[in-house]
Amino acid sequence: MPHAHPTLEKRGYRGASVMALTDRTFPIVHFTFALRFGALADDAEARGALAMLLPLLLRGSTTRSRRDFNRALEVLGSSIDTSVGHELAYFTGICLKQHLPATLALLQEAICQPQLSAQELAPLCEETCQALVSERDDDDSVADLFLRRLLYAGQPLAQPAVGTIDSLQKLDPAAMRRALKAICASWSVIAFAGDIDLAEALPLVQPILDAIDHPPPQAPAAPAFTEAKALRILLVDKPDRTQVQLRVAAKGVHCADADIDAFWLGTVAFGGTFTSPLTHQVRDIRGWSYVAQADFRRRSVFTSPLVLRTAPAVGDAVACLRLELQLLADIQQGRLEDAHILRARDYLIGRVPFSAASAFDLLGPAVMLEILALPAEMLWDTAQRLEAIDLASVAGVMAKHLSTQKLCAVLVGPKEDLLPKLQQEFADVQIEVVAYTDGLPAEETLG
Amino acid sequence: MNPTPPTRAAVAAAEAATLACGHRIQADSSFAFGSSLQISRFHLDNGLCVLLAQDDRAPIFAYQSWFGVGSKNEDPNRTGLAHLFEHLMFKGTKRFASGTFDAEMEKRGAQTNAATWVDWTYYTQALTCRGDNLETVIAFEADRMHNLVLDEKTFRSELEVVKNERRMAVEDSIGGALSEHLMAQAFTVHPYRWPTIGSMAHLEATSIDDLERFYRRHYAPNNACVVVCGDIEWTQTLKLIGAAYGPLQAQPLHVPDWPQEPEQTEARHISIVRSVLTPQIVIGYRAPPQGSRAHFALEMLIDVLTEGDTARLQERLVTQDRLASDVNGFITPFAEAGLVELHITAAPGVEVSKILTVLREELGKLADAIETSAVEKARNGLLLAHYDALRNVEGCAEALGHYQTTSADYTRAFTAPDVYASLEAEELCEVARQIFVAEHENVVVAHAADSTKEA
Repeated sequence: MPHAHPTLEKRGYRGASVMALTDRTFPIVHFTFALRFGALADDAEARGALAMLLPLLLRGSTTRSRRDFNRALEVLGSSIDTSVGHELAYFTGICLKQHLPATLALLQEAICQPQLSAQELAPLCEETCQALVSERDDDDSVADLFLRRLLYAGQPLAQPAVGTIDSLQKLDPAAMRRALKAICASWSVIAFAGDIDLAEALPLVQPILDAIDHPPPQAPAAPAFTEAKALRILLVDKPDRTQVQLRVAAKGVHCADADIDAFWLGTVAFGGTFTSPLTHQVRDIRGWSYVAQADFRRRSVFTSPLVLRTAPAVGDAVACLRLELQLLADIQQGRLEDAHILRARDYLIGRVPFSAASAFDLLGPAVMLEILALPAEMLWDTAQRLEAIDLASVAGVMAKHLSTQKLCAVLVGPKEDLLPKLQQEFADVQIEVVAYTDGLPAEETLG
Repeated sequence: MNPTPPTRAAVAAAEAATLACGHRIQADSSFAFGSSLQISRFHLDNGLCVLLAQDDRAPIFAYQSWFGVGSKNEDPNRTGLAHLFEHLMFKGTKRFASGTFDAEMEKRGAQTNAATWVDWTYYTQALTCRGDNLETVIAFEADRMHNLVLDEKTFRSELEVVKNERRMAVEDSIGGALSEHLMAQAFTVHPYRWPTIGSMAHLEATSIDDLERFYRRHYAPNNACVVVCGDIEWTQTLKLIGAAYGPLQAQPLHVPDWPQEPEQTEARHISIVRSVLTPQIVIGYRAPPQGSRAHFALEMLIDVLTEGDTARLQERLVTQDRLASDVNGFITPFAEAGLVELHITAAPGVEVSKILTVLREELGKLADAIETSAVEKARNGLLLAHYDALRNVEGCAEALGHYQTTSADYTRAFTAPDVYASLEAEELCEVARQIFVAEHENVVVAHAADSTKEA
């Protein structure tokens, strides 16, 4: 029997987009309230403002204390979380269908009657500072943090979207009030998935959008990648490790670029499946790493990097880096085999029904397409677009966009083991070394 | 909640498939969850259990093979064998050369994975209903259940992958190291005491012979359950399963009597030294097996303690006293008595002993009284999580396979809402009194070498 896609209904209201994807199998509703901007909209002297604002809104209103507000929300079994990246910011929620009106009424109260008190802001900033310290205890997070610094040196993108310990300590309620002005109807996308349709959803969100129907502030400018002229290696010294978190990254392709689908396909062919060259060479042949994959975010507001992720033992790390660079050099010379490209395409086409299997699966992608002003049909036409790619062109697209001279690599591991080997293997490359606590105030690094 | 006798449709599908494949298939029960999920259980004569769940929202299906073997079945001197073996199941068989499985699955868009824990190992594929996808996945799975080829070169390479997995998950991971020490401390004789990933020394000492023996002993149709959830036609699915698995022979299964863990009579504390900027703490208490009423009650108690801004430990440790930056709770979903665990990240500069004092105080209060609103919060939150876990074919198949393998009763995947609804505050307090006993406490603290802030 042919299957109908889950229905996507959409309506504009006061400049916002309101969407519903209906699936009545279970009496639950997921919802997303997305803002078409992220931490890059922060004032230069108030980094972290938006990332603090969203959770602060959920810490009480003018009519309810933090405790009373969260009691009212949590007794329903509902949850509302916040997520602030550089590009975008979200409230995301989940609730039982019967509790959706009460849950959204609380979200409305949070956004439209904010308390923004110093008494709640100070502990929130303190908790965030603590999280910035404890994330250094996780090697994976440390690798991603320092890779970002290398990729976007000198730009706001180089810093965490939540700000730094320095910037967070300077935030005050006035900065919160300035940040709040950016939450406006015309910069909002509100979407629901589950036991709900648009006719049910609209009356629930209209009061929120009515209350925030004011002009948006100026949109932040898109940042540029820091283009390197040669391979850069950053060694993040972390002692007592048995393993190295290794990242190798290159500039990717923007979603509006005509090459986007071919680049995505090429990335999957290179390191997105078990049989792809990267995974096969690193993991199957040599057993060097449990994780061995190439990641690339196909749909994002700004150009995403292509990132190779591996975690070899300390003794194998330099050889693993050399191998990954060699594999990328092969790609740069157009040596991505047809068989890998074909298999990757078949794989991706086979995954398409899963990405559209239910309303819940479609919620995130539908919101992203709306934000990127791309047609909703792209939720369902991935297979056709992949079929339309000239496979012979994929290796060329990868070669065109990747330059082995512009790569950067980050290794998180013990300097005393890694540095001599790196210097020997990469004698003509400048190797920068930093402590894994770099950027934290001295008193936070004493253990 | 009990399964009903098999529906007419299930019996008819089994009879038609038996005729078509020449291997007897019997329908033994059916179960409906709401109006959307129809499930039936079947058995082949060789003992293979088959669970079929109809979900026709999309042209996809999840195919999972669950085996009743986990790390608790290992020789204490060869820990990690079950998990290492799971990795090798993706290599070659007598019928298919190494690499064929992955290549064939990828070509079809299959997402493949596997997992091993204390009580089970399972293999999962999620595919579209196109062409011969179902037939192909059944052929591969039935084949590797009895035809696996283990060669030295492949084994050595995969052993390195597993050692690297251990480095990532335990040796360089604070959370992993804490969990490993906690289990080893809380269990003194039961096999839950050793880590599923195995010790590095045991992994390095493992031989092909060990793996061969493990395979013959545990991988057999009478120790397996195949779960298929999605847009499938039952007669055709059963016919293909019967034809592929029907000829496999049942094996004598050795089901050991797990040693009874003696009652803990005094609190146990250890500290481990790691490169950490903030101390991390885990506290564990022995918990009843999954599926028991007390286990459901503990799930609600964990919600009361740690879920959300108003949870007791969150409010006290993080919001009020500012002793911790993070608090989480967890109950092991084990077939036998496991642990309820509380994980805490200390705020910088805070003494661990202060955190433990407050924690014990809050656990003590649980035995006194729990507000009705907190019970309602836990009930609603867990009900929501329960539905959410079943919302796609992979999640549904996983729930069915897990409960069938750990308790021989797949309907337990759906009993939670009724039990949560029946549990009131007094009963939760009573469970708290039984579980959070001072003498039963197990504490592991990870701190930096130069820190003097251990417990």
